[in-house]
Formats: sequence, C-alpha cells, structure tokens
Amino acid sequence: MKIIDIELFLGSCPFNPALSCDIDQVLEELSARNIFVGFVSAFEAIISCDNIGVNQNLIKQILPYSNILLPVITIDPTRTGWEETIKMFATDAVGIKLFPRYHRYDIIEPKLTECYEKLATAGKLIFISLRCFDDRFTPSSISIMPEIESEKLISLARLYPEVMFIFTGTTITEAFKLLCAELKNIYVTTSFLEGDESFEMLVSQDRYRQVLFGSYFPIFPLEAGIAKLKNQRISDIFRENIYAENILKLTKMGYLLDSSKYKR
Amino acid sequence: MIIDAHVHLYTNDSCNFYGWRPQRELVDRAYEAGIEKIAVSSLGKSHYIGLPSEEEVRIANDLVIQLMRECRQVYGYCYLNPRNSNCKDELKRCVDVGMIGIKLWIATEASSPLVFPIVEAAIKYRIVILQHCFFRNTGNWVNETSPFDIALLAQRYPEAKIIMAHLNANLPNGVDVVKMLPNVYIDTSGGYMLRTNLEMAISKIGAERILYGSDAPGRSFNVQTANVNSALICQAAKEKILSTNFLRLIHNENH
Repeated sequence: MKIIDIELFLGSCPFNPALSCDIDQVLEELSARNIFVGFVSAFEAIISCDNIGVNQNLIKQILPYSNILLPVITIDPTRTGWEETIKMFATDAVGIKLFPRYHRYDIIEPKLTECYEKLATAGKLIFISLRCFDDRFTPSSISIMPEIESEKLISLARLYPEVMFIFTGTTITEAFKLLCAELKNIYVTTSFLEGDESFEMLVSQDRYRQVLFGSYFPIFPLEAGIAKLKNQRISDIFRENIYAENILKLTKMGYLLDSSKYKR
Repeated sequence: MIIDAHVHLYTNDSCNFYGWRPQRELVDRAYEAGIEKIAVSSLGKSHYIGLPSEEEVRIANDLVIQLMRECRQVYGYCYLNPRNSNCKDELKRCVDVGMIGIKLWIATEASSPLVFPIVEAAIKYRIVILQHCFFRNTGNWVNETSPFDIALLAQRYPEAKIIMAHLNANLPNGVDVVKMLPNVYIDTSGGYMLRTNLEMAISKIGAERILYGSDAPGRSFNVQTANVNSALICQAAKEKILSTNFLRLIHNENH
C-alpha cells in the first residue's frame, strides 16, 4: 500500500535535542517503511522568528531529494518578512505552515486577513499546527499559547472556503469537532490521534476522505504512526485514502503514483 | 509473547468516542494486535472515577472479575480508593478470585499514610501495585502522584513491588527520581511515546524494570506495541519489556 507522510520534521528539535534528525536519517526511515513521498518542515521554524533563513535552509537541504521530499515552508504572519517568504519560496513548497500557538498569535486576528488572502491566492495548502508536542511535557523554556478552540478553526475555514486547511497535531476530540463541521476545506492528520475504536468512529461515514497520514517523525516513531491504521477495523479503501489517496487528490499530484521518477 | 501490563475496562453503556464496546472486545483487540495477555483494571463502570465510593469500586472490580472468568487471557488489578474504609475487605475479595495486583489512581498521592495499609496488604499477598504517576511541566493535579511520592513509598516499603505507570509522562527527570529504587518498575504508557524514550529509559534504569503497558483503550494496542518494536534496543531487551519482566514480577521471581 502506498504511503505519503505529510508530517515530517528535519533539523534540531526544540523540545528534545535527542529527537533532532538530519536528512539522511529521514531518507533512511522513509525507505525502511516504504514511504513513497514525505512532506518536510523545519524544526527550527517552530520557535524561530526568521521567516526567510529557516525556509531557505530547509529547501536547500531537500532540493537534491525533490523526488521524495517536498517542503512545507513556515511563516509567522505577525512578523515582517512573511510576504517576502511567500514570494521567495511558495513556488517550491507544497504547503505553508503556521504555528500560531508557538509563534503566539490569534489565528483570527484582523491583521492576519491580508495574509490569509495572499495564501488563498497562492493556492497552497495551509497547515495549521495545533500542537507539536504534548503540552503537559513541553519544556517550560518554550512559551506556548493556550489550545485553540475548534470553533475558531471552523470559523476560519468558513471565512476562506477556497483555502484548504490541514490541521495538524489534533487530538481525537478536536478532530471530531472539526470534521463534524462538514466543511470540505477542513482536513486533519493522524499524528496525534489514538484509541482504536475512537479512530474508527472518526473515519467512519465519509470522514475518512478528510483524514491524512502524518507520522510526526522524528518526534514519534514512524512505525507507530503506520500502526495506527494497520489493524483497525476499517476497509482497505479507507486505509488507502488516508495513507495516500486523499493527499494526492488534494494536491492534484496523482502523477506521483505513476511516474517512474518517484519509484525507488 | 506480549503481555500488556496496563489496560482499562469499562462498559459500553456510555460509550462515547473514547469508548470501547463489549468487555470481551478488549481481549479480541489485544489479540489482533499480537498481545496474548492483558492486565486489566476498571476505574469505574462507565467512566473513570477518581474518587469512587465503596459501591463504585465494587462495581468496577466486578467488571474485571467477570472478564477474568470469561477470558483466561486476562489478569486483574483491584481498583481501590485509599480514602474508603473497606479497602482491605475489597482487596481480599479480589485477591481471593485471583487478581494479581492493585490499581491506584488519583484519590490520593502514593506517599499519603492512607496508602500504607494497602501497601502492607499487597506485601502480605505478594501482589503488585500499579500506581498512576505523572510529572507534568504544567503542575500535577491535586492528589496526583508524582515520582517523588513513589520514591517515598518505595523507600518506606522496600519489599513492595510498585509499577510506576506512565514512562512517557515521567521522562527524563521522573525516572531519575526512582532509578536507585529496585522495587520500582515503570510501564511504557502515558502521553505520547517519543522516538527515543525507551532508549533513554533503559540507559537510566535498565531493561529489567520496564514493562510494556498500553493504557488502552484510550491508547491503541497497535501503536503502543509498535513503539516498543521500533525502538533502537536489542531484541533481548524488547522481550524483557514485552513479557518477561511482567511474568517475573507477578510470579515473585527476583532478577
């Protein structure tokens, strides 16, 4: 079964140095687990305020492996330089990521309107990270905002129906609330979802179409991420969609499945 | 062989999206994930109760007893609230039907004198104590056991066998607190298992004192097992964690 992992990180982990990871480790892990393509963000972007430098470094590192790794660039729309960042890197990136809780801003601040409008025009996927680490054990040196209410995320998705929002790091409760809003532009990732039956209920009916596979490697073991769908009592169709088909449709990158360029 | 040292049970009559359906399904799910035996406690009939009454404790334990009778793959823990006055009687009732341990949650800290008679009874019956334990950066709940409480209890009762639940909620500092106490074991559950957690834990306390525990059904058997299987540790250590350590512990064999 083809797997595309849309939540990978690279670089120095701000939560725990032991979880830092270089490009060779990422490639090795993807190969060992038969992951077809990975979307990669820079760890440094979670706490860095340098919109340009961090993304530049990420793209430079993964450029030689552009058949396997695709960059998700990060912006902090409350800081200067975000427009420049989009101009410079959006073409190369598969999506743009926001870390509102770690960069400490409210996702529906009026001053972000311009940013969302620009992102909508850019036509890129917008990843909004709800958490990168378990809040209860996040080092106290990292200051984070309180959890974002699901209602606020739903309002944002309603305001920009043309933007595809991928909410990452959602708990199972948040994922239920988000998907039950029945908005076609809301997606959640599997990285922080757990509990067998609750997961099966989450993806039941048509909701499986809005769930995307993300492992959160190297914070979590990639094998454990894959195991989330392994023995679940769900059909293979659900599994195939979550592992790869949904993101391929969303990115209109179905050609990845056929191109020999992407076969290892 | 895999034995899961930390599983919970409650009924389907209030099943929400955290829930699990028939009690028997718990065993089936574990089996599908390659787990042969599970050690189960119930923290309440339909939801987890932190300060259960005597009646609520009895009903919760009855659920486990029923499952033990139905499925030979099930070990039972007796859930107790140390604030209740009938703990000794309830424990005897549960030990008499074959339970292998005691489960303590958040009714009081493990270092509270309220817990001492329970530990003394556990020593007498030669059974283990599975104690919830968190070391939150955000501050523990009221009455929630920290590794310091576990350490105090383990020092007071060196012959007691204590499983400090939730490795992932206690690394790194919480594990350091108990590393010199050989009667404290740690299960692999709690929060999210980070990729390097198991390696780190072994480097601190060795593989002999770590037990596989999933905390299902809130967590997934598959995911938690994969966390152990994918760790960069030797096969012998994995075997100890996944089954041998638990068997030695409940059969009162020294390492």
